[in-house]
Amino acid sequence: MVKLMELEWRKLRRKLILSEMIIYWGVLMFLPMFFIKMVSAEFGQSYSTIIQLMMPMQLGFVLFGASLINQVVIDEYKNKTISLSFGYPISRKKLVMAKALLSHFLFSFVR
Amino acid sequence: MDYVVKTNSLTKKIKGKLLVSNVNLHIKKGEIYGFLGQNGAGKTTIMKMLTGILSPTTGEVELFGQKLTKTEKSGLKRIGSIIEYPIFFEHLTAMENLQLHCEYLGFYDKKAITQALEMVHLTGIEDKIVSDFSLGMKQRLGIVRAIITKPELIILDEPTNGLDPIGIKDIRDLIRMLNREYGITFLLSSHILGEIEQVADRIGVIKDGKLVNEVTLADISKQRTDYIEIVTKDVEKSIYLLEYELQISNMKIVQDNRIRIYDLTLPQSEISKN
Repeated sequence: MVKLMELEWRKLRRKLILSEMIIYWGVLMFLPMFFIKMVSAEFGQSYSTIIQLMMPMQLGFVLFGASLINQVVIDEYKNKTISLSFGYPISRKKLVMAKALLSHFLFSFVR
Repeated sequence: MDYVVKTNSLTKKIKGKLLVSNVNLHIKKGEIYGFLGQNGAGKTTIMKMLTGILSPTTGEVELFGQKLTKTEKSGLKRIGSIIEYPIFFEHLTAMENLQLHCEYLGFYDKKAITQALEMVHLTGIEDKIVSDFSLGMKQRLGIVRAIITKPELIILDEPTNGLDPIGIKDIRDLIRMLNREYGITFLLSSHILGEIEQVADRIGVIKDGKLVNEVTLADISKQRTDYIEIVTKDVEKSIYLLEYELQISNMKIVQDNRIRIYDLTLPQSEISKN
């Protein structure tokens, strides 16, 4: 399964995904600091304001997850390369599982 | 008899429409089998079912004596194929595409890739991105991908699509060579008879999803040996007469003053009258 995931990774536009990762990281790491230090000092004071900050960050992660799924699964159907994978002597369950695991792995790596 | 591919009453229905119905296909080991049929007759659908991309509604596919099911796909290891249009990961280079293919099939021979590229005269493009390729080059690369692992059965759907005449000849020679030297079985498809009859040993005619006829080329040429021979003084004039007055086109000039007519739809008396 690890091998399948690696192959799945090699199919992707790796540079695009890596740069996307870095941008998300930068923005999401930088934003809270910015809010706490610059906008108002109260942001770091109470728990409820932290929750307010967490919301947009969560949304950012969800967006990243969506774009990952798009690249790993949907693009392959769109370019019809999926029929290539289905032509190999590997069961479809395993192929789809490898895709799901890879996107989960990448997603949790960012988080 | 040793069959590479066998199908038992293969049927595919999509949204109530019958695409392929009751096809019993038998392909022997080591032969070149040609599919002939109109556009939309169901050639590609049959090929997709043979390569496990689609699953049949009823009936079954047997590859190398083993049934092909959703969980049991080991027969596909011994098959190389291009279906419809050569599909690649367009943003990757040619080499990466071929390497990926090899890894999926568990085939580790670095030399085989360069060897296969040389076979179709496709060298010096290993590090180019596939989306920059022309259709002809993609077609060739697709054939490379199909033959890399030296499979026992190669399925090519319209292999000469988008190739120039020299490319078509190259592919034809390549198919013959692989068939002779490695004993690879081929399944080709086309809607052009002339293209198929030059390479195929046996032809399956498909019409509206049904396998109408399975014939060997030897049989066809045997059927076509009846002819009428005419001796005339003026060959050109009589050919003109035959063509425009009687609408006969299948004939041949032998020697200087003899014409052989293979088209026997008109009775002999009709021809001699003119």
